[in-house]
Amino acid sequence: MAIITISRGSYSKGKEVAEGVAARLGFECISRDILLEASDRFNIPEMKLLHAMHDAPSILDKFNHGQVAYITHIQSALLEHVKAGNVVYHGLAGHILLEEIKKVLKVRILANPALRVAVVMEREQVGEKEARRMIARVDEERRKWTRRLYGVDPWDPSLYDLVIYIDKIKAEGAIRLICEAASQEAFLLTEDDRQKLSDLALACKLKSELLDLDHNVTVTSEYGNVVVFTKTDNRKARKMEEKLDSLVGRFPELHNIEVRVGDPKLSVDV
Amino acid sequence: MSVVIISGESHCRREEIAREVAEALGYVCISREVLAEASRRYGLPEEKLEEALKDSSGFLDRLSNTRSRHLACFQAALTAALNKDNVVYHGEAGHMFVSEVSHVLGVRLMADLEERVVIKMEKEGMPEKKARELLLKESAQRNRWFLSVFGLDGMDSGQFDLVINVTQIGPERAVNIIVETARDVKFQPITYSVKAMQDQELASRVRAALIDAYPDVTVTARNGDISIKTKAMKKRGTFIRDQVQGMEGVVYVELG
Repeated sequence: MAIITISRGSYSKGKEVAEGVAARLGFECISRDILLEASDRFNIPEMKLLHAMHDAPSILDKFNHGQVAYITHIQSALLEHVKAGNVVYHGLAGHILLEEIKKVLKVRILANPALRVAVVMEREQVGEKEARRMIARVDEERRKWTRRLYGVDPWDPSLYDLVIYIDKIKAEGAIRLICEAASQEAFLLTEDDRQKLSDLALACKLKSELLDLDHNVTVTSEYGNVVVFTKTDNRKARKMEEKLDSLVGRFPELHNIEVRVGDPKLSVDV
Repeated sequence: MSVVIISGESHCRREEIAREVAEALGYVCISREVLAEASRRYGLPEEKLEEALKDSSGFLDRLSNTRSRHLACFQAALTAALNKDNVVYHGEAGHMFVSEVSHVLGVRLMADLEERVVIKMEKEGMPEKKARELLLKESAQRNRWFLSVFGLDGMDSGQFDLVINVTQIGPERAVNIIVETARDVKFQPITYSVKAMQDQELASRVRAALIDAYPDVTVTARNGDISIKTKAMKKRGTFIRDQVQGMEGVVYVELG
């Protein structure tokens, strides 16, 4: 029982590696499915969601919090998928979206620039110069996106447990190494880990539902006991309670809900 | 039958992992021996050579090219050691001194800061705050050194075949991953890569012999043919050719 995230540079054979790892370990392999599910569940056009996950944030986004809301939806859908374990997720920001879960094996796949150019030329039927330009543009967009939303550089190796450079190490070799790393005890989920994942997934789902009332809402869950923190006024808090009451039946793992007005950091029980 | 170069931050179990990789592969494990050999060959104090591998100011270099000279001598000793094959070298930035050799496996080890702090506290008997401060200072200095010597970001993963976080992966599994990769057919020496390594050793040795008198010298080697470039070529060309022509392994000298 393990969870593996594979962050990949575009055109770096990351998808091939992810699918190979999933096939060898008998795991589910997910990526774009998450987007489809999120867009379906929250009634968001898929293209809009893709745009939010992919493009560098515009100045406008800094004010309307649109991207943060979308990312919460994605995170919620992702957690729902991975909480049972035995999953390989490849795609944007999996390592960041699951940052709170220490037992996730976080892998980054890079590739020799010449190899990436060759892949783009073949796949997109473009010349070498255009291929280089496309790669540089996609890399820059991803970099800006991750920096803007999470304040980290996706190229920073300290975000990952294993970084593999595809060149002399081929995709097949990378698959073997990832399977080897994932098989160790440190990445096997215990009952306690599964409970934490279930709590995180629940908190995230509820947060997704409450974002239209407060985009800064914080939701925590421990063994299904949920506390919602909002910095808005009591009137908004009541609205939240009403909305949460209407949702209770949809979440069998939910035991209790409290809504508190204030900063979660200052609301520690004494 | 390949070469493994392991670099890594201090206190991330680099030496322990390098020794176990060498043992599993039946290779020789070297590190400080390279400094000792450079010192013996070129008559330079070992501590000064070590300083050149850490000094990020570049101040001494601007005055007297000291750092460049010391690094050239270190490179000559390192490439000579790696030219023997079946070697695991662990040390800072070793991979940057050997490029374009396909049978070299470049690995970088990392560890979470918290783990490194604990190791440093235990090993050097110092309080947590001091250990943390020193490690952060050391990392920042290393990054500055890397940038000033190679003009690159030392954290860029693209320089390595593998980057492993020892905290999460664990030392034992890290050893297995490195050993398995080193045994891969892609990292076995072939005629071309062996020649590439020999050429690197020769070019480094020739440059180390010349750099004291000609600080701007660049040297390339191909199958024993040496190409040398320096501003002093017009005045000293013949002298340089005579000096280099007599060196072991040199077939032909071309002055650029």
